[in-house]
Amino acid sequence: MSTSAQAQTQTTEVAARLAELQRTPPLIEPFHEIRFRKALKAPLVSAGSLRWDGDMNFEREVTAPYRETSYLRGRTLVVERADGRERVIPMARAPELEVLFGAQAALFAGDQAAIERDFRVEYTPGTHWRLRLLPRDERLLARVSALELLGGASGPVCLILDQPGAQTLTVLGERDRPQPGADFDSTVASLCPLP
Amino acid sequence: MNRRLASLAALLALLMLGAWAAIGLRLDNDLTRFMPAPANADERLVAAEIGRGPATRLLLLAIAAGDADQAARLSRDLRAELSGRADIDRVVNGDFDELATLQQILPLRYSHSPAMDSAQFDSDALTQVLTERLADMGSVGGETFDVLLAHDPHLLTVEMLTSWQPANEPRSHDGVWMTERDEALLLVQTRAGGFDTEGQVDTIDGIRASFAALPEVGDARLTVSGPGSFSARMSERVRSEATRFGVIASVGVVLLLLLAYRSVVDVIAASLPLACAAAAGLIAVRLGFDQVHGITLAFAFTLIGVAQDYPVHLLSHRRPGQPVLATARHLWPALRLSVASTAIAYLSLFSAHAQGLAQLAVFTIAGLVVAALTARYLLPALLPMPGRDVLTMPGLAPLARALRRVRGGVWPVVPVLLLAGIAVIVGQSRPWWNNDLGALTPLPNEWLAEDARLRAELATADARWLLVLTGADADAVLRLSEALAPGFDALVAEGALADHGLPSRFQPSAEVRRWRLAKLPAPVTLRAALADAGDRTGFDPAYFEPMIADVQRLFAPDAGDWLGEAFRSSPAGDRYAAAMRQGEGGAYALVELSGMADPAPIRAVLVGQDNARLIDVKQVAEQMVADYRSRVVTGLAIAAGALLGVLILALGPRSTLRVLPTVLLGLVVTVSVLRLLGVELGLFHLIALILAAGLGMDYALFFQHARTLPEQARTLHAVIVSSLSTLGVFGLLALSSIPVLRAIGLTVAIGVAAQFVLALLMARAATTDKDHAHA
Repeated sequence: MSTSAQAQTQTTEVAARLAELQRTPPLIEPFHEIRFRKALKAPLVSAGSLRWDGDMNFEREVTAPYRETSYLRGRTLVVERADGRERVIPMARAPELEVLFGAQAALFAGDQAAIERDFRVEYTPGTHWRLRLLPRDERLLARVSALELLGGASGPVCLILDQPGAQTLTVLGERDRPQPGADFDSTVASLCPLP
Repeated sequence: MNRRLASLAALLALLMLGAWAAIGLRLDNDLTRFMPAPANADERLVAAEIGRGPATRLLLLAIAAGDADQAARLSRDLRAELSGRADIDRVVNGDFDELATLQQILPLRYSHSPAMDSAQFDSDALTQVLTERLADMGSVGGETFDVLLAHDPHLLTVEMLTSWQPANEPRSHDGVWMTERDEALLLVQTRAGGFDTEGQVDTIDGIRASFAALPEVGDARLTVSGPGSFSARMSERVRSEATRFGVIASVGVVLLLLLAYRSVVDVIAASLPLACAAAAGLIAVRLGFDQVHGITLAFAFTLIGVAQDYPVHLLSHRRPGQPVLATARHLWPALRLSVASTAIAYLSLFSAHAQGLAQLAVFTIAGLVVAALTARYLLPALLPMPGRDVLTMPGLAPLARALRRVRGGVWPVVPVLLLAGIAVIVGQSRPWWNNDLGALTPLPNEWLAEDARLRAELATADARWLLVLTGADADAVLRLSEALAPGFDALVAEGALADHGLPSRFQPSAEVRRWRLAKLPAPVTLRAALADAGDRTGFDPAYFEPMIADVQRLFAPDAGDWLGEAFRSSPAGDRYAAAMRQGEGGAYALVELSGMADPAPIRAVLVGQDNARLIDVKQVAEQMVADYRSRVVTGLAIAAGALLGVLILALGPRSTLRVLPTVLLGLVVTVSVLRLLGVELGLFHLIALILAAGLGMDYALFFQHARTLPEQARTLHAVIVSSLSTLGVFGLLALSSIPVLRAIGLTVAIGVAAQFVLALLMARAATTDKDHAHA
């Protein structure tokens, strides 16, 4: 196969994958999140659910090990703690949020044009597939090197956010509390379908 | 012939000297030259703040793009574009790189963060701190403060930055400032001073060009406001209006003179005294002052317009067979007196103690004196032997005869008093004087209103109130500020005040800084406590080695040096430097207060603190304007006394009584009409009234001087030509979009009309009995 033909196939496959990822709002997705932080001896595990109401409107609720609700409306994030404390973070000041929520909003909406405008897309097809989104904007790339989706025949299973000093794995769907491994890579290998 | 050559030579020399003066004259746009000179410490402070200071270098930019998202995008792009420019010191649009700022101010946290007052560094306290950080880490955006964590687990730096930020941030959209009308707001600090017109014009043109070149700018609109923009727009407007009105007025006056004298030579001759007046005025200010305000020049050229009347009298009084020199000699007593009385009136401007007005007086007096001398000594030598008498002009003789039938007398007093009475009653509720300092600036109201709107959106401090703290040195001021801070914080909490800018908020006193640093444990102790807390919370103690290294550095002997440097380059250092001043005998701080509804609770907090004063800027400024005006009014009263003396000396008491009432009644009519039009009088109206009175004096004196019927008819001709040209020129000014020029134009136009009519009526009254005597 010639290079251009390969690229052509790749584009078609990506388009097909993106079409499969499209959802209709409101979408409610339970999750478990495992964060590996340089500062911590052991990873931090939390559980909750993410609700998408179309466009850039999200509500993220953490239920364990503490309670916290975050609302994203347009370009402002408000984090409400159980003790009533509130933090307001404009998207412009937290580039990682722009990548995380911007990519998810575009994926759920099936907006392939937006994905390709803001990210370089790397796709590994197969029964177990991998979709890597790399920010085109240098400023964002400095804070988030990649956002990665891993999935199988039934759809996406894992979401990985790769940041300097922090790696976050979100395991999607209703399930028992996942057991993290000794390091990030082994945790991903044990919990996610790898191509 | 020799006399003609000598006159020509003198004229040329004067005009060339004038050109030299004009070329060498340095113009500026410092509006404070028109501000009153401050009389006490409070006034000095207010004047200094209004006139100069970093605030004058601030431009306010507003981008309207239809929707807020687009405006925010353009705001970011424009900021990026402008940040690199050499003529711009600083651009802020609300979008600040919080993380970069936090990293920059990190070294100051132990000495400057208010959170240090309660922060603890033992194992239990650190455990609690790390537990909180653990919760942060799990939340969305929990990485936000990662840059700090290894150095500052207490987040003292965040608390410090928060304490520096204004209590009321402007409304913000997507991280940039946005008005209620969805315009993105930016503040630009220019390198050029606010009154450096050329620099401001260049900078603003550059900003506009950058904006127009932004991608996706579409039909978005950029508004630029602030002192620099005012001075740039003002100079442009004055230039364009001066050119337009200048051309129209010149054409009008030339046509009028052609109609009146039917001779091109006469028209040229008539322009010479005015040209000489301009030359003399320029030479006088060039010799007397370093720099002259552009507006001074514009006013001065307007005021010397009176000089146009001098050659008109000469031209109208010529008779066939009589040398012009003889006519000039005959008119000289009246002309001399007219110039002297106008000059005396303008001398009163010196009493204002404002440099702009002093320049105005010097220019005008020099100009008028030289114009009169030109009309008396140079012009007659240049004019040919007259061949025509204006008496032969159609219509003039019947007019003069009609005038003779006017019964004169004192009856005009009655309608004038009636008019004044109505004006007083109608305008009862309106103040006589406009005491607003802003009325002294020649800026159009709509500019000021737009500027005020944008400033309100930016939630900038109240310009009305200023708290002044004084002390022997800066640290004494800071200690006073710290003593006041709890009271002011309570006022903010109660809502009596929106925010305060006490300097100790940005720079604690030396004592407080020392006390905070003394709370830090030795590095060894800290390392042990962190190890323990790390074990209890799951944090890796090695991760916090940077914090231990920072504390170690604070124990080094050079800590004071680099802390001072870090402070000076921080946003708090900027705020502190902007507030602190070195004055005579100590230091003082100007504290901004915002959102104050009632000064009483503030004054209550200040009780017993003799070194803290709350200044009502508005009241001080109004007092300054009132004092300023009362000085001018006093000066005018003195001038009126002097004038009376001069008139009595020159004319004798009887004739003085015939001239003076005309002028005074003319003034009453002018003020009454202005009042009926709803005008509150300001300083520029007073100047215009002097001009109108000067013209009235001129008319009355010449009528008084004319003894025979033909002379009266010639005087009538001259006064008609003069008053029509003055009315035309100032009527045009009354249409100006520049408030000061409009005020002068309107006042003089009304004044000239009133003075003309009264001079006709009253002069007739004055001459009646004399004619009988002659008969």
